Amino acid sequence: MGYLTKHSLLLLSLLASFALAGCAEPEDTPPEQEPEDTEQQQIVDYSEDTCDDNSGERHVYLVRTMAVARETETGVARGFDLDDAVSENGGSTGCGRPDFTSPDGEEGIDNQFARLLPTIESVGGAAFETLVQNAINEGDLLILIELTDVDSLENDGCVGLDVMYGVGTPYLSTDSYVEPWQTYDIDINRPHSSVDEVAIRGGRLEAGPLLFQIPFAVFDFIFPVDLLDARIQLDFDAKERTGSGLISGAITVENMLDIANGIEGGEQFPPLIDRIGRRMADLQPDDEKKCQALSTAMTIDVIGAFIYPDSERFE
Amino acid sequence: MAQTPKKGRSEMKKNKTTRRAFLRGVLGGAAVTVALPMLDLFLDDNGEALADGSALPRRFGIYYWGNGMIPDRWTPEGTGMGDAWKLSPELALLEPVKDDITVITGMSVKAQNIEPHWSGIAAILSGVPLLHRSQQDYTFAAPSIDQLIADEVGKNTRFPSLELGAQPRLGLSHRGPDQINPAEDSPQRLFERIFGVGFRAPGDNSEPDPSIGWRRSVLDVVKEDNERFKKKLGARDRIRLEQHFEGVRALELRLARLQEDPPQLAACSVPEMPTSDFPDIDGRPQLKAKNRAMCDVLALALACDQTRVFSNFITWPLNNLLLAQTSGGHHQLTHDEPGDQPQVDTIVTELMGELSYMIQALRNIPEGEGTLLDNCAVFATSDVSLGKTHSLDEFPIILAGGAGGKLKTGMHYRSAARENANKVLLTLLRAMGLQLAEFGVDETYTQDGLTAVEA
Amino acid sequence: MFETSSRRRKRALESIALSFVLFTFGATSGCGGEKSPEDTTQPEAVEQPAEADLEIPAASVPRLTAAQYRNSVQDIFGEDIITPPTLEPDIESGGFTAIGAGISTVSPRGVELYEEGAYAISVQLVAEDKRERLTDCAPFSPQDEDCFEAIVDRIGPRLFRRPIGGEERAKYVALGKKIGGEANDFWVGARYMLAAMLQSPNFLWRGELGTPKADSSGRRTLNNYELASRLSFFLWNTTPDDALLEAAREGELSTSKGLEEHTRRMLEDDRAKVGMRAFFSDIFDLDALLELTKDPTIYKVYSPELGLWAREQTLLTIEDLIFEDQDFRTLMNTRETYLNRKLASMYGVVSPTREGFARTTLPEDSQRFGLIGHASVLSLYSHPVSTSATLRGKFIRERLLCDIIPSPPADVDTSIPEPSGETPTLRDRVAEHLENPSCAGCHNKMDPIGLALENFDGVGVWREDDDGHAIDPSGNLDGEDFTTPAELADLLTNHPRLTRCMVQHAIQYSTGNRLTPAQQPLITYLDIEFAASEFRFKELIVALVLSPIFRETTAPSDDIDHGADAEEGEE
Repeated sequence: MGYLTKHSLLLLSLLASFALAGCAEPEDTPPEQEPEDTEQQQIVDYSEDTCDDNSGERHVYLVRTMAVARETETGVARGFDLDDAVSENGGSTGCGRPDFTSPDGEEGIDNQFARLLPTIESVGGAAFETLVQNAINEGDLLILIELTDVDSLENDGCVGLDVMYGVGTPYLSTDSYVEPWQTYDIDINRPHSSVDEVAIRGGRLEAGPLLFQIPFAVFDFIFPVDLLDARIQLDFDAKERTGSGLISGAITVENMLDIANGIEGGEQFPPLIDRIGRRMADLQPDDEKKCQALSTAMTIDVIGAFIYPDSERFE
Repeated sequence: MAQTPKKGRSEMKKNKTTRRAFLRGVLGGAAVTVALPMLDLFLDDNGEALADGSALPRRFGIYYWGNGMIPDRWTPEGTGMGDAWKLSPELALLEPVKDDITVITGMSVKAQNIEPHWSGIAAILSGVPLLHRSQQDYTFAAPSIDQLIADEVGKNTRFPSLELGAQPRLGLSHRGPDQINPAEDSPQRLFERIFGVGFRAPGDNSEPDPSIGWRRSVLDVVKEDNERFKKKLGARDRIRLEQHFEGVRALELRLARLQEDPPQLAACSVPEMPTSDFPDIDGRPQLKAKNRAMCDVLALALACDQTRVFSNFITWPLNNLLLAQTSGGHHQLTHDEPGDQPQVDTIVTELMGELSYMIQALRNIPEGEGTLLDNCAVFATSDVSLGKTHSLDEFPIILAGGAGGKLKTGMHYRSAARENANKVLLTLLRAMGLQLAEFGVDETYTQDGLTAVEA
Repeated sequence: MFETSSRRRKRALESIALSFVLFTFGATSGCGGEKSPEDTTQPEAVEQPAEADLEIPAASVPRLTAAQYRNSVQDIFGEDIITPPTLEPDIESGGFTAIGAGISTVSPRGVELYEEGAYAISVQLVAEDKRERLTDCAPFSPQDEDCFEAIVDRIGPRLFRRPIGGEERAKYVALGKKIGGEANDFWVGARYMLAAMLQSPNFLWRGELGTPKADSSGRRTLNNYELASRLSFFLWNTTPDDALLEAAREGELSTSKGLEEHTRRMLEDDRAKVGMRAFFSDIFDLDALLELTKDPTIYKVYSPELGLWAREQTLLTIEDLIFEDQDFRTLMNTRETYLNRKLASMYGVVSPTREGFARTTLPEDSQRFGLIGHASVLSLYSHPVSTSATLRGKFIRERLLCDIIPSPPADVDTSIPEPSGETPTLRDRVAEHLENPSCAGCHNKMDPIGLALENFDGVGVWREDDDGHAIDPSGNLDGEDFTTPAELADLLTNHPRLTRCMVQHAIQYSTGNRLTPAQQPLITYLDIEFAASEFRFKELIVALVLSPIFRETTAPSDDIDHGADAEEGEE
């Protein structure tokens, strides 16, 4: 695995501008539920909850699988509309790169990486998802999402969200996924980011912008690539304490080139990235209206986890 | 795989010769531990007896599996010899040895079925009902028949009997109440025990190791200790320790034999040492691989006359093993699988496949004009018939081998009258040379053998 | 520090009586959540059962178990000595190895293995770097009698657990000299001499027979060495150490004071953990966990080490209760336990440690209480592919409450329906057990209890429902209702037969004899002592060791009287 420390430093400096959510830190909530009370439970509505009170629970989730949201049918892929525009081929928005339509019919979906990835894969190396899953399973890519002040996973007006890396050697289930409810330390040497005042509506959490790193898997290596202006959407199953969703944001071509230049034995890479990347870039137009970044969408699923109470923490 | 030495008559003149002299002459006096070609000059003119006039030794073996079978799928169509009957679905894998086996159906174990599984197994292996001392406390009331036979024919072999199995737990060979001969479940250890240090192959004319004499001196001292210790004890414990001390005396006899010449059976050779103990994979035992590795060692152990009595406990009574790619443990399936119980059926079929392998391994050893199997009586059975009901009727019994001409083979015998299964036991015991007028007690008692299967 | 013993016993008797009362009249203590076991007030003195009421079983003459053999060899000769990988297997009687040891014998195969083992051990000991463990004597010839004697004098008493007399010693020395001479090497002689001792029944068998009492009652008193042996195998699962042999030599174990002193000394030693582990592994069959197999397609958290770790959790939890002098009944409803990372994730709690095991408290709202919430018993008493209310209920009945469950009638169809629309949960499927008259008598004792644990799947992981179908854990234990696993745990904690059963297990294990109804007064007495000590397990052990059932045996019924022969070196 290669990790480019200069990028970590860059990220850390960027992160200085983000503050941790200020929610309080109540006890971790274990998943073993009491059996149903015979009396009707009071349903409390937290949809108007604010972040002033520190009443809720802390939940920790681990990203168990991560995949690029690929083009499933022609023109159809999951993702978000990052630039608030429905771009068409050769059109005036998105540097003329056509947007996708989501499987639900929503237009304007920005996900150029879904088009780029097959090309990268055809050049060599194992499939993206395989490399990423191995990295997760081996404990090199443990992404923890911590929610604070959670009063309800159905509707909650305000929770805090932190994303960080975990440290540990996970146990794997017999079907080769990380088992839920394991306990991890936080890797304070790797980036983290947070967002305050995130809402959950109808079981769905949406938050952003935040800084995220996604694993750029190629040639049997995985490099963290910064996902700028990232947005996250997670649909929770309150009973199982699991979730699934999307993370989407922008990857700069320059970032990808830096990585490509650092791959030993991958000489054909940088020119390929340069050419195709610039051609496919659809975000962050510069002064000359040339796009400098590609939109990227990743699907993830998350399971419950814990953080060691005495783990090192940020701040 | 068992080796197959060539068969054929030697061209050499039959001089009176000592074995050692002959070997020295042929092989320059070097110690040899590989198969010698078939040396018929050690057999009599008919190839049916040893040169010294004694009959080719008869061997006895048990093949036992746990949790029974499904009578509707087990009982063959047709009865009689040869083509008069066909193999049933659960017996399909015995096709290669159909002419060497006798399937006996419709017999009943007459003992009272007090303890599910255990009442059956004690009665069918010892002929006598289970000894029930209290709720959780039961054992065989009498020795299992392999031990009765070993007492008769096992005195002159290095091991009076050998017990093995892929998943035996302790095994079921009893020398008496609470006295179990633990079955070996490691192919490697089985090999080591028989063919490791202490085995002298044909042609090994090196001088015996002096340490054998020293070991005997040690055992003399141990025997003295045994005598003293025993004096202090009450009768019940004296019997227990007597068993231990018997074992010490038997070991001493074996050592004495080691100081003599090695075996002279021509088909003897050292098998390949098993390289694995075949650990479980994903919670499932490697039953086949283990069983076959052990059967290969066993066949050559018999060929080298290391023993004449063996028992193969391939699984244990009430076992809940995950076998044959099934979705549940064996015992649980016998009780919980609905309808025709196809998974139970599959398990039984596979277990019969392993019996088939064992029989073939014995058949692959040439002996005289025939094979080792011709001089064997193999007795295959279980602890119940239908596992779901723990029934003792329609009891599963398969015999293999001709026992040196004493038993018919290639037959399906079906009892029309729920005959006493002890008849089979009596037939087997008599075939192995025990002159018994009767066998069993109370409800299992009989004076009759199963004459229909006797040759 | 403690109350006087008679007041303690009074309180204890009352405690037991009150538990009986509560159970009979159905008083419950209410909701779930951990409760302290009940404590009570009133007096009524209780004495040891009269001599006439005591029935002591005959000595069981156990053969050393495989673990005891190995522990003894390593304790005598050094932990670095490699012991044989295979030995004659232990057999169980009624599910207990300690009792099985008293009926087992040695098979011919076992004799071979003991012989092989004796040589494998002795060859290590005569190697140059280890000879000093046998003797400091430097032999000047292959038949140096003094040096052979020195070895026998040092090693003999440790191996045989008693002094070696003149004739015995001469026999071994003669053997050593003979072989030393034939091999022309002292150490070869020494090796064979040692091998003889390692195969001797004096080593392999425990002849704790006692000496007849003068009163011709048929009862016999164990001498100091026999007591040392029994005590050491009970508390440490190994041969007596030098200190204990010395105490025996000095006659200290013939007095209650000396016996108690040494018992307490040994209980404070770390080796008592080994002994207690062996005891609880036997009575709860925990060693079967080493071969635990589950279907990995159904139990995705299953791994080959799971059984080992689950066993470790239970043993550590029990160790804590014993050695921290806790109320032993709380084994049934404590929230304190030991977990490693894997078990913590299975239980859905924060791991208390990054490696190995550490103590932790399960959360307030967990339904996992005490031993019945341990993955060990939950997975062991289940099938490879599913839970089993019957097996779990049977465990609780037989091993925790010492109830006797007869075997099922033969020749019945014992199948239960597959999960289906009409019978979706296990409760529905075993309903037949409880309705059919020929099944209900026994199954009523087991299934309702096992069904209380249906929220724990076949490897002990909590589940809210059974494949979408609601689980109803309510039931009744001997007249007391419960609605949750936590309530069942509380009922078990206060069940009158719980501690009595523990007492019974301890007596059976330490003496190797199955108990009979005639020993009930003794069990009652020890149960009261146990209660009087507030159920501290160490105190139960002390009371047991000091009681006649530990210190005496009875002549076997068909004894041929050799009482007059004092064995060499024995008292």
